[in-house]
Amino acid sequence: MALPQSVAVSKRLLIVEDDEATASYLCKGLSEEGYAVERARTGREALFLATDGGFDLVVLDRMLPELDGLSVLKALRAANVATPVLILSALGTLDDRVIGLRAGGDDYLVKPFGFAELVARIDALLRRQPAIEAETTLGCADLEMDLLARKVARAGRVIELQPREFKLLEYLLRHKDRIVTRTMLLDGVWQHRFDPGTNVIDVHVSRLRQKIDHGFEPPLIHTVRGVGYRLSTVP
Amino acid sequence: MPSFASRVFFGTRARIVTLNLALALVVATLLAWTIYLLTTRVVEGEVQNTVQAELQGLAEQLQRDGYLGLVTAIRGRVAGADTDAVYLMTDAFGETIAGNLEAWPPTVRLDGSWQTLELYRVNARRPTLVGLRAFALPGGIRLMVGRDMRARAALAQSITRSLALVAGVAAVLTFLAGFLLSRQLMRRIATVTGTSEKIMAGDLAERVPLSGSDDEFDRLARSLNQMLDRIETLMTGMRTVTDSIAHDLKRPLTRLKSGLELSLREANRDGVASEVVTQALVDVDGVLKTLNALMDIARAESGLGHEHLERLDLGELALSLADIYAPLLEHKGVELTTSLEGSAYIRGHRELLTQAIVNVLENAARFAPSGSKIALSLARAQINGRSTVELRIVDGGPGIPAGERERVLERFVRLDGARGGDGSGLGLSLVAAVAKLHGAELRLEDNEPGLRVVLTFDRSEA
Repeated sequence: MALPQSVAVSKRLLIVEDDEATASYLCKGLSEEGYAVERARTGREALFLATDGGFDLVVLDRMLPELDGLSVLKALRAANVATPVLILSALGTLDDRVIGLRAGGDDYLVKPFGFAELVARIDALLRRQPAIEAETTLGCADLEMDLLARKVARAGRVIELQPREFKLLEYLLRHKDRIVTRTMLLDGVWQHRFDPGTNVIDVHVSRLRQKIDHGFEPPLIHTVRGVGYRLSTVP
Repeated sequence: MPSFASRVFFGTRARIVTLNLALALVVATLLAWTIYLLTTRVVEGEVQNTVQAELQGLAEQLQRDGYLGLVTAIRGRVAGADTDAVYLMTDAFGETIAGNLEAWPPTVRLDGSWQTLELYRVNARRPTLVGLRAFALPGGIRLMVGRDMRARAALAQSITRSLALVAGVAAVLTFLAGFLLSRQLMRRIATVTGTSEKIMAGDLAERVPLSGSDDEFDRLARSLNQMLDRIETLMTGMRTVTDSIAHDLKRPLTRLKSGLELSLREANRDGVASEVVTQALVDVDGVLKTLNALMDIARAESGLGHEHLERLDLGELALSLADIYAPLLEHKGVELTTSLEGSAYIRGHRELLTQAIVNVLENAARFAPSGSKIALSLARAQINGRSTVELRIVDGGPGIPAGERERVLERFVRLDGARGGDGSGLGLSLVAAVAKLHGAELRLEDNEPGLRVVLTFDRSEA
């Protein structure tokens, strides 16, 4: 599994994790993905390293010795450090998630998580840009989506989409060329955070595929086995 | 909520006050009546004695001077100063010989016994009450001697008036006392009730305030507070346990999962297919999912999610989830219909409700045969002044036999038809725990065929 490496300079990640095994796993995995990874073992160390704002993203574990993760986060935000923070935590109730996001986190991942999920979310946070006000269309290859008119066309042919299909395609287009996991889709398209037991999301995607890929070249919606989906011209 | 009227007129306080008032009135009335009777008896006794003395005097006259003497005596007395004395002497034809009564009353007994009658005095427009004794004398002569009892009547009236006044004042004072006392009582009770309600709404730190007077209410308050301390300790313990499980138990599982993933990526890179590792990852994920579900259930059952209840539209939530599940169900040949119009606001925990509804939908999706229908609907009702909203999820699958409907809500219970599938047996346990957290009623019914899951919540007005 290879993510398109369209970065000239490697993005710098700070991993804040006190558990050695988890930390080495994360550091190893993420550097293999092409990120420049540094490690902090305690909250204080994290604050010290992150405050000068030199990192592109911080992966922050909540349960840290001495100064806990949320306090670090609040301190960073109070110091006007806008670096995106992805919170990792074994505390997985949705109440905990709300607390984490309110403290200034940008995303919250519950341990244990799939590594691919982590990478997909880090990627999404790194590429997130402030909303472009003038953006009225999205597209990929010969697929065009008009956000104002709520219309979709491929190779000039108008495609009729139901509202939910439109929202799904919009999310995929906004995350063009990147992997999106099923949980990301559930959250991004329907604002729900539950673990789907059956392949309920897959059916949505396959229907969308029927409408926008079937009978067109090249296929745009790709399944990444065991991880999720990617909308891209590159399979 | 009982109506204002029923509370005012039938509440505990009203009952205390009314009882008080009734007793006071009864006692006052009894007292008054007794005094009245005794007094009038005394007065009447006096009157009888006087009449007796009169008769003796007249009898002596009769003996000494015969009828002439009697008549003279009577005439003399009638003309005298004692205006209360009443006499009448008539001949055999009923003609008056002497006296100050109009006529011989027909109902008088002639045996000399004491009688009281309403009689007309001479030149009187209204009758007065007269106490008298009457005799039949030789020669057809009839004699009646008595006294005007107007004094008695006047006394009776004045006593009655005073007693009525006293009773009235007593009643008012009793009412006020009862009112004030009961208000005190109710206030103390209301304090306890108010505190309990706050606690049940989730604010565990609340305690019943003590007034410092060390009376029964204070003792009740103290014992309630001790109970609440215990509950708070248990709840905190519960929270600590689930958080400890989260950290301690998940740590080895996290490492296991990470290790397996690393191994899988290395295998993929080397071009080695590794079914065993892939399956192991799936199994670890299954264990983690069960663990999370167990923790969610434990937290919901112990009421830990209470602080995170917010006002939400149940219909909108159900509709959004139906939207997600519709394509999957269609794919299996099952039609999903919704009847969720209008707003249905409740105080709910968004994520737990989501998971509960999802669990029911996933069960329905798993067991619904092709060609059957699943329907979600809302029903609003008023039961005994309570506004409720009911969410119904109905399917045409195999349903749950009546005997199993209690059991199936327990953890890890899976019915025969489900074994071997990939459910954990926790789905409906979570639904039951979430219902409990929300104070909602969960009913599993026979849809004939199929299962009908009904969740009844209190509607939130504001």
